[in-house]
This record gives sequence, C-alpha cells and structure tokens, in this order.
Amino acid sequence: MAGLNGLINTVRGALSAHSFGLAVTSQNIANAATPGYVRREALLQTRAVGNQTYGTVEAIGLRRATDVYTSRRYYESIGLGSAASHHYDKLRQIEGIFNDLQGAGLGESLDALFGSFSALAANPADPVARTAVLERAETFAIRANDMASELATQRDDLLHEARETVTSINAIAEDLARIERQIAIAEGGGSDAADLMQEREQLLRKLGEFVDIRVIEDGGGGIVVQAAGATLVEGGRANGLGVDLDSDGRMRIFATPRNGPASEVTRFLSGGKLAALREARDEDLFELQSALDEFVFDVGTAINQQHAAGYGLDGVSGRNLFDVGGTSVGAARAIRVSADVFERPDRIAAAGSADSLPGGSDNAVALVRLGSSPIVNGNPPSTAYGSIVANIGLKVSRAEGEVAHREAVHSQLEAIWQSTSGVSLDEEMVALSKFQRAYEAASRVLSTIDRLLEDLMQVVR
Amino acid sequence: MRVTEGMRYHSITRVLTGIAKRQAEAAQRALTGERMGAPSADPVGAAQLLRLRSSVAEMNDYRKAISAVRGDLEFAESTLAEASQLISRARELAVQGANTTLVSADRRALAQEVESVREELIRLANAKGSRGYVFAGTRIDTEPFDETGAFHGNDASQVLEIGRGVRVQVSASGALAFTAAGGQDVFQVLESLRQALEADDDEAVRGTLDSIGAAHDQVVKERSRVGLVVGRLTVADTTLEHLGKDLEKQMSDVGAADPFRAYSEATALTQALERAIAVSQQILSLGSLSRT
Repeated sequence: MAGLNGLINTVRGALSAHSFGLAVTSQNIANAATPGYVRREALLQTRAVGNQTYGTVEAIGLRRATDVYTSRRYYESIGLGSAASHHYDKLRQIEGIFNDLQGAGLGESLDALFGSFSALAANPADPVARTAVLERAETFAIRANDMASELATQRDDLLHEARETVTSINAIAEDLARIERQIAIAEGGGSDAADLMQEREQLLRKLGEFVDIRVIEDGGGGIVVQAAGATLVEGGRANGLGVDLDSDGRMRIFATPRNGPASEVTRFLSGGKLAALREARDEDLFELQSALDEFVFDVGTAINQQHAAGYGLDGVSGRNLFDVGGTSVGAARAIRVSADVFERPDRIAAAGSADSLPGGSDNAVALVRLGSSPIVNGNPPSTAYGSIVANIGLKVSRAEGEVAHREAVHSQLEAIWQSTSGVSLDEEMVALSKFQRAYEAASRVLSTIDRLLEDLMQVVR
Repeated sequence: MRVTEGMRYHSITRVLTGIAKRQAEAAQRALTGERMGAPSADPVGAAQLLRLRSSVAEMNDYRKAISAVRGDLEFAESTLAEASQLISRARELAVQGANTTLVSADRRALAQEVESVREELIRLANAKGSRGYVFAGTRIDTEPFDETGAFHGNDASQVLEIGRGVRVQVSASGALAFTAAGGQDVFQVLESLRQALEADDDEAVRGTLDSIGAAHDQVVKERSRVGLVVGRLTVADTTLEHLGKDLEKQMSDVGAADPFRAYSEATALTQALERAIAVSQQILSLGSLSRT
C-alpha cells in the first residue's frame, strides 16, 4: 500500500490526465466548425508500475475517430460531386451562348434571312428589298461567327482552367508529400501527429475536389494517394500530372512520375474538377461546335446552290451568297457574305432566268422554300437548329440532375462521416463536465492529503 | 447514430438552399410570365418554341409578301376593267361605222374617236404600279407598249409563294390581255378599225366586229384571272392570319407560365421557405450550450 506520498503521486497523475482530457475537449470545441476536422478522444488508462497497486491514471495519447472506409467513400464522393457541379456550371455558361429564347439568336437571324427572300420575291427589282437580303445574310453570318468564337473562347478558357487545376493538383501533391515526411518523423519520435494528420486530411479533401483520388494505407502509418489511377504521392514523395493537346485539339492528361516515362491517364479520369473541365470541353463543347458548324455549312451551302442557279440584275448567274468553305469544319466561324455579292445588291439572284429580268422572282421563291425544306441532315433549318438548342438544354438539365443526385449521396456520406468523426458539442459539454469534476475531485483529494500531512506535522511538532 | 452540429448545419444548409432555389425559380416565372428562362428548363419545349417562332415568322413573311403585291394586282384589275370599257366603246363606234347610211365625213370623225380610244388604251396598258409597269411581264422597267402598240414586255410572270408549296403568279399579263399571245393583238384590231373607217369602207368596218369582240373577251378574261388571284391572296391572307394566331397560342402554351399557377407556386414556396427558416432556428437553438 502506498503512503501519503504515494497518494500525492496518484493525485498528480489524475490532475495531469484530466487536464489532458480538458485540453483534448477544448481542441474539439475549438475545431467544432473546422471543415474536415476529425474529433479526438483522450486515451486514459490506469498506470501499472511494477507489481504494486498505485491506482493512478495516465494519458497515453489521443485517438482520432476516423474510419478508413468512410473516408475512402467520402473522397470519391467529393470527386464526383465536384465534377458534377463544375460540369453543370460550365454547361450553364455554354447554354448562355444559345440565348435564342430571349430572341436575337442564330435561329432568329436565319428566319429574318428567309423573310428577306420572301420580300424579295414580292418585289424582285426593288433595291431596298435586295439590300435587305444582303444585310440579313450579313447578320446571319455575324451571328454564326460570334457564336462560334464564343464557343472557341470557352474551349480556350476551359483548357486554361484545366492547366491551372493541374498546377494546383501538383502543388497539393507536394504539400502532401511534405506532410507525410513530417508525420513519419513525428511518429518515429513517439508523437501522435494528430495535427499533421488533420492537415493531411484537409489537403486530401482539397485534392479530391480537383481530381478523383484513392487513398490507401501503406501499412507503415503512411498513405499512398492515387489520382486518376496513377500514383501521385507515395513514401513521402510526389509525382505530378501534366496536360497537353492531341492532334484534334482534345486534352490529354498525363501522369509524370519522378522516375519513369509519362503515361496518359485521360480515360481513367473519373471525378473532380479536372474531369468536369475535360468533359465540358472535349465532349460537350466539341459536339456543339460540330453541330453548329454542320448547321451553318448545310444552310450556307443549300442557299449558295439555289442562289447560284438564279440571275442577278446584270444577267449573270452562278454566284454564291456566302463563302462557307469546302467542309463543315470551322464553317460557323468562317462564314462570310461572298465577295461576289458583297455590297452589290443588284447581284442578288431573284430571277430564275435571264429572260425574266428584272421582275422575275422564281429563284427568290425557291430560296424562300429552302426555309421549309429538309436541307440540314434531312430536317428543315428551324427544326435542326431547335434540336441543337434542345441538346444543350438537355445537357444542362441532365447535369443539374447529376448535381442533385451527387449532393444527395454526398449528404448521406457527410452524415455517416459526421456520425463517426464530427464534433458533437453536446458530447463535448458532457466531457468538459466529466473532466472538470474529476479534476476538482482530484484537487479535493490533494487538499485532504495536504491537511492530513499538516495534522501530522502538528502532532510531530 | 451520433448527431453532431456539423450534421445539423449541413442538412439545414442543404434544405434551405434547395427551397430557396425553387422559390427563386418560381418567383422568376411569376415575375416574367415565362416558363422557360433557358433551354434547360424544358429542352423539348425550347426546341418546339423555336420551331413555332420560326413558323410564325414564316406566316408573317407570307402575309407581308401578299400585301406587297396585292396593291398592284388590284390596280391591274381595275385598269383592265377600264380597258374593257374602252374596247366596248370601240365596238360601239364600229357598229356605228358599219351603218351603210353614214357618209364618209361621219366615218372619219369616228376614225378619230377610235384613234383616241386606242391612245387611251395604250396609256392604260403602260400603267405603272408600285413595282414598275404592270403589264410588262417581268420586264417591269421597260414601257411595254410603244405608240404603235408594239409589245416590248414578255409573257413571263412574277411568282410568289403564299403558303408552304403554294405558288401563284402575281403579275397581270399584258401579253395575254393585249397581244396576239392572248388571241388578238388589241391595238392592231383597233388600228384596222381606224383604217377601215378612214377608208370609208363599211364592209371592212363590219369585218372587224368579230375581232373587236374577241379582243374585249380577251381583256375581260385576263381581268377575271387577276381578280381570281386577288381573291386567292385575300383567302390566303385570312388563313395565314388564323394560322399565325393558332401558332402564337401554341407558343404561349409552350413558353408562357400559367399566371395563376406561377403565382400560387411562388407564394407556396415563399411560405415553405419561411417555415423552413423558422424550423432551422429551432433546430439550431437545440443543444446544451444554449441552455447554460
């Protein structure tokens, strides 16, 4: 049995253990609102020294209440959620280019062009009607140019953003590698490294927003981080990602290990902002650009063919109304009013034959008729253009649905994660009382011992 | 399951954001009266709306074209009516001139009147409408008849589409009304009459009566053809007007928000948002801290 001095030792252990408990509780309370903060628990145990029973307590460290499987799913969910919401944002921006519902879109300018053909048919020799055709043709070409260049600007912006994202990913990878090394040193020195692990957790979450990641424990207390299937951080060392363009102008994402050749990982990219940027740029925008090009090319070519069949007031036929180039690639950006008729309203071919000049309107009527003829992929122009607009609308609404779905999934995971790792202030308040009372009681024991010792001193004196 | 503050904040944020978003959308619909702000609100409806808008524009184009040509056609019709009256007058003169009791001075006087009828008729045949010479075929910039009555126009016609695939000739034909292409060269017939009267040849005057009759019928025939075209244009215009209204109604069915529904949705969601905020406050006031 311990004497009074032994009791003092017991109380000293209790005081320091409970103040450690208070410290951990206060850390939890301090970080109650810190995103990604993992709740800590003070680990207390009865100290055994030799065979004697002293009954004192010691704080052997703290435990971070985390679960590797929940974390893994959580990172995956961050990646998919971030991909969905970035994809949606980008598509919304692209949708803004097809602002036809507010009027003043490409479809409307084409309607106006066909309207000017109709007015020309009613008044084939009228210079005003002829000038109107040229103006409408010019407006249509400019609208197409503007839309195409806005789409191209978006593609450039998305590439730029993807490059920035990759730079961020690489910077985070470096940070993670540094922290991994620090953790290894701290743990080697017997420290719990809880703050470092917390920082690592936060970096992983940030990384997960940029690219899909997978975190594997390496068995020695460290982690291996994989991004888009390639190893990004391992053994306290970081590899990088890189971007370039293939011959079609599509992005390629590379893993660039420190030692070894770069390998393409584009097709493994499944989540995060980077995946969203790639999909918006190389799938959605690419598709819309081609559809717009094809639309403009088909419409321009059909109008050209009909226009060339007619005769200008000078009795000459075979002139095009537009320059659209030989293939649909880049047609929307390239279309111009043809130099043959530019600022020459008299050269607009309203008449179907030289004999019927200047009052013949056969060709103008034929041009009007193109407006309701299947000249774009077997559809009349308004239907074809409508389906381009519907397509971007569908993409946006699908992306919006995906965002909602990902949010629902993520919020479930958030609940599970919170349930395991989140700080509950109620719990902390209870813990606070518990340690406070225990500390108070230990102090009381100390003062009791003190009084006993004082009494003893009195007796001795 | 442990319930943490983070969980409460997360779910409150999520619910409030969701309701606020729906409320903002409903308010937008109620405010603008438009169901679709962007194609994504209803992609299929957006495509339909664009098609309808294009069709409405097409209807309006047809109507504008019709009103652009109708004036000249009506003018041509009334000019042809005048022309047929003039020819009737010439026929009367011919009947008079065929009377054997007339002396040569009377016939010369009649010949002079025939000449003035002929000049007046040439003036009518050279009538100019808003788009040029009405009876010149498509050579609308050239005077179709010179003083001898020779034709310098053509028998081509301006065509117009007044509905999908509905093509009509929208010019009066001077060739059919006044030249041999229609059967009789009207001016030549009148010239023969004048010459016969001038020559005091009652037999020859009588001989022109049939061709004058035929010339009259020919002008009347062209007049009624033009009248029919004007009639078709009027019918087409009315049809197009109705179609346009139908299409506009369809457009508003597709694109416009039902005002009552939009308003009640906006109100309901505003109330839902207020309730959600109240409940959130209650949830947030839970917890041991607030009670101490």
